[in-house]
Amino acid sequence: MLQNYFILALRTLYRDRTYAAINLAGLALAFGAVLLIIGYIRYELSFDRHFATADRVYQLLLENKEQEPEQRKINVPSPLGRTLAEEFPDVEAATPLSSGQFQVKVADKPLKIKVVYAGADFFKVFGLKAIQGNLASALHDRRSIVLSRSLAQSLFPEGDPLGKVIERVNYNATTTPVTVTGVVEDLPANTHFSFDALVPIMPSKETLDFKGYSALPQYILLRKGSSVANLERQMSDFGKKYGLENKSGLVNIRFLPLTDIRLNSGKIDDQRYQVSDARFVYIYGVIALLILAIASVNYINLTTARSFQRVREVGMCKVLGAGKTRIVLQFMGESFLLFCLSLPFAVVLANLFWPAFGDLLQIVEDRSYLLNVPNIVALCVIAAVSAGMSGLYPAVVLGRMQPVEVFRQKIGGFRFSFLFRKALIVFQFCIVVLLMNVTVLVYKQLQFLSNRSMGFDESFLLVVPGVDRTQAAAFKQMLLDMPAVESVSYGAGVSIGKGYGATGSMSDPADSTKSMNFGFIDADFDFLKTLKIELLSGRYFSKEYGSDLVNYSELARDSGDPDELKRLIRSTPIVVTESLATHLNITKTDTSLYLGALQGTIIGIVKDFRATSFKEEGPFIVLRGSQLASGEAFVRIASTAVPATLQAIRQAWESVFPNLLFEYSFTDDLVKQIYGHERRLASLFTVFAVLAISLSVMGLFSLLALMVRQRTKEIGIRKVIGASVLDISALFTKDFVVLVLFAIVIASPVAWWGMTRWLEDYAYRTELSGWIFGLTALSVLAISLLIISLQVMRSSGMKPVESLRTE
Amino acid sequence: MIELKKVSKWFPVGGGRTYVLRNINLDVKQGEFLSIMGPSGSGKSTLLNVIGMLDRFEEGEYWFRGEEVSKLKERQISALYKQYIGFVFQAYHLIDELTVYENIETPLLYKDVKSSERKAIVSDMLDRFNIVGKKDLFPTQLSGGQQQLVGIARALAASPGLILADEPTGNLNSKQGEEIMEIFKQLNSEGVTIIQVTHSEKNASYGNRVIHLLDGWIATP
Repeated sequence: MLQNYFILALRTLYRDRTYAAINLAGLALAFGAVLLIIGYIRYELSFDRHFATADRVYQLLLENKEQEPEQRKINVPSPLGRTLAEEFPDVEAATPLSSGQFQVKVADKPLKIKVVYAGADFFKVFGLKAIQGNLASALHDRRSIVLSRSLAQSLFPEGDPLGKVIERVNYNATTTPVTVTGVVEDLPANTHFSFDALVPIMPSKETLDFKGYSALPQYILLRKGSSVANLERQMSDFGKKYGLENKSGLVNIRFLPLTDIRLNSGKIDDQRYQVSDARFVYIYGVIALLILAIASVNYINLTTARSFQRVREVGMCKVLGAGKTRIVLQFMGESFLLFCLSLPFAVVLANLFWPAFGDLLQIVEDRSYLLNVPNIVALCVIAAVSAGMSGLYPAVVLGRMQPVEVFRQKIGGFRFSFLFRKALIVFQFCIVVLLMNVTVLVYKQLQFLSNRSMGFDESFLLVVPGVDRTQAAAFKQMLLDMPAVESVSYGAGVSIGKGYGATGSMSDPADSTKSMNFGFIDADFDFLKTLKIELLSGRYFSKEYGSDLVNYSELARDSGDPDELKRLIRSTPIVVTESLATHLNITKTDTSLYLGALQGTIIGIVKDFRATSFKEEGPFIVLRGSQLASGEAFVRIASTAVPATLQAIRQAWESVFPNLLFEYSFTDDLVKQIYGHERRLASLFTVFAVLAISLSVMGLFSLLALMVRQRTKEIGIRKVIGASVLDISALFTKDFVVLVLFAIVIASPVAWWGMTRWLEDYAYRTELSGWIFGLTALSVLAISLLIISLQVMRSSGMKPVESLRTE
Repeated sequence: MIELKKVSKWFPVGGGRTYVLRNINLDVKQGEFLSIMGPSGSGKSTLLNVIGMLDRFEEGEYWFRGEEVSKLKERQISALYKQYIGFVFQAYHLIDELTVYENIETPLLYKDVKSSERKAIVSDMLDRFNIVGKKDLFPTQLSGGQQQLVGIARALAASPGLILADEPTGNLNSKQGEEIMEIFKQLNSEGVTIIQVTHSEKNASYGNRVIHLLDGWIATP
């Protein structure tokens, strides 16, 4: 019996090869996309679960609800973890964990490595096992280092790395020897931190005090069987004991489960850690469902439209004694078969696109995260469910068919509710309209953000980080001696695309419920010139002015007199941006300020500029003059012969800093990276929108072909009577155009609503203009009209006698 | 075996009714070979469909082997098709995707006949209708007469007690038609009840009773 059905199904598919192929291609594409998204979602959900202690490790957070936006800090007082471990038996161990990088010298060549600064109990907390060495004591000594397996292998290809000494390069270009005390396995990519090596953080001597502290991210390990809820209950008393500001209960110690860090870190945004957002998991999950829905609608429409050819078969089977159930099972079986057939293609497609997809989502490209048993099982389950759901309707309707209707030679398919099929088409085009609108808007916002001027000239501006301050002046002079170098400036506390090193915050004098945030840049005399920032009024720091050469902080440190101190601080020259001046109602320079976080005498006002994205409002920028500024060198170079200039700069670097690794970036690249997230989102939405459109068009195309085929005789008769090609086109076009219009009317407001909410997250946002919706509507209409006319032309071009003969 | 009492069938048209069958009284005994004749549109096929329980009727009673048809459930009717009734159509209605062999086998599958037994029955049918050589062909590869032979073979495979044939020779030439009629005659002599709809006096003469329909009435009872 089963075999018989199977054969029947295969032959049916074979007879209608074109439709089977379209169905199969649609399903394969859709399931390919679904598999990719399954791979992505499961990758995201798998983060940090590989740790043996994953269910007992928590990251410590300080939550401050008073601040706007609500802030959760991962940098908590450094003695917090240790104190918790000492005072609560539930806490088995604690460790700080801070990511960073430094250079080591191997065979006289500098090499940059990613490191994690960790406490002695790091291995205990994360349940890591040693490949070599004794991890219990591996991080006790200040001058120890634990290597990852891959770094150990590349540094010491032969021989035992244990006990070997590595030269660690310090910031002042001197080196410190460190000894390898252990080797651990490389961490898998789905870990929220990564390292080539681990180095110790010495336990802090300070006692826990929330008033002033040095801060580090910290993790605790709970004892087996302990509950975190129990610990949380005791935190309020603990906070009081150590002076945690908690008058209004607004500052809390929180415990974030290790496995939640990747997706549920909320407002914590720290570039050093690989955190994402659960929203993306939802967004892509929804997209997968939408794509699946489009493919299923195609399947239902094609199957019902085609069923008129199967009606006779169904009638005959019934007359031969097949019950309703058998017919239903037979057709369900067919849909399962088709869905099953599409799966291998889907897997091949997904496998093919995984690297590109992984690149777009910035996740690992390793195929083992895509092609594993749970993913394939999930795909099969989803395929089975959707096969069941989309096969059920045609099967049940065909199963209910009365045989006599068949033998009366009526056209089959009439039993399928036209309304239902129309609703499906409307639904399908709603998804298309929605995805197209979203895509266009994401692009528009991206254009808007990236076209906004940062306030400085970012082309042909190099950033060279890591300058050792003792040789900074010499390096600068060497660069200035090159004809291709226009100007050089040192600026500390500004990192293009990332943020500001020194920040401050105070309540807004104009509105005390709001806070004002500042970013301080310690810049030398050439900063304005090098970055090409426009001076609006007053003057910039200059060596012409003796007052600019004074080291105020040094003087202040030496002075014992509080009044003198205040006077010094007030007279420190600062340069502010236009928006800050406007905000504080300062119109003329030489205004002296002594506010919460902003003190000094404003000597100049410059046009607004920023180092960070336009996604957020960004802090007010304050420039402080500094001769000692080191850190980042900004180098303005000529636009010609760039490679030669770079080579010359490299040589200069290597002669001045033989121990340090030469690195550089172009500022325009750094600025571009700011919107990497939006760029990727735009690309992904484009891919999915194109997929949705292709699937819908495929469906519409074949549905029309079937409808035309069903009405071949009618078309012939109409032509014999004298209908023109246009008349016949109108016959088919009318219905579909109404459906597409309907979809546009439904989907556009939904898109409008959704995109308004999405834009709310941006401080600077593009307009949600009507033309986006108009453009989308027009293109969807145009595409569907094209498809319709292609099909109808074909059929109405036939000679009537041919179409009449087919009966 | 078949008893129709005052059966009428109509379609509502506007405010009134268009009758297809009017006040039909018909008794068919086991072992009869009945021919239903009449001009086009007289209701012959409709009557056969009613007898075959393929179509409903609006008035009257229909008793099939002592059971009132209007009270039968779909499942019971399915069971009757499996066990007792075989249909033969003018347009053959073979399943295009199945071979000759598979077409004949289909009713046996629905009857859950064992595989070895199925093979025996189908082979027997193929033999009987001289179509062994065609068993792996698809219906579209056969002539009309051959297709109808397959149709009959399929109807007979489940060894029904009643065969309902709607113009079985309508699409065939006279020689093929005669062959089919001979087969029916032989089946009837073996005890199978046959009801056929036909235009041809000659075909009707193979049977042992004829009724004429005219505008839905039985003209000669």
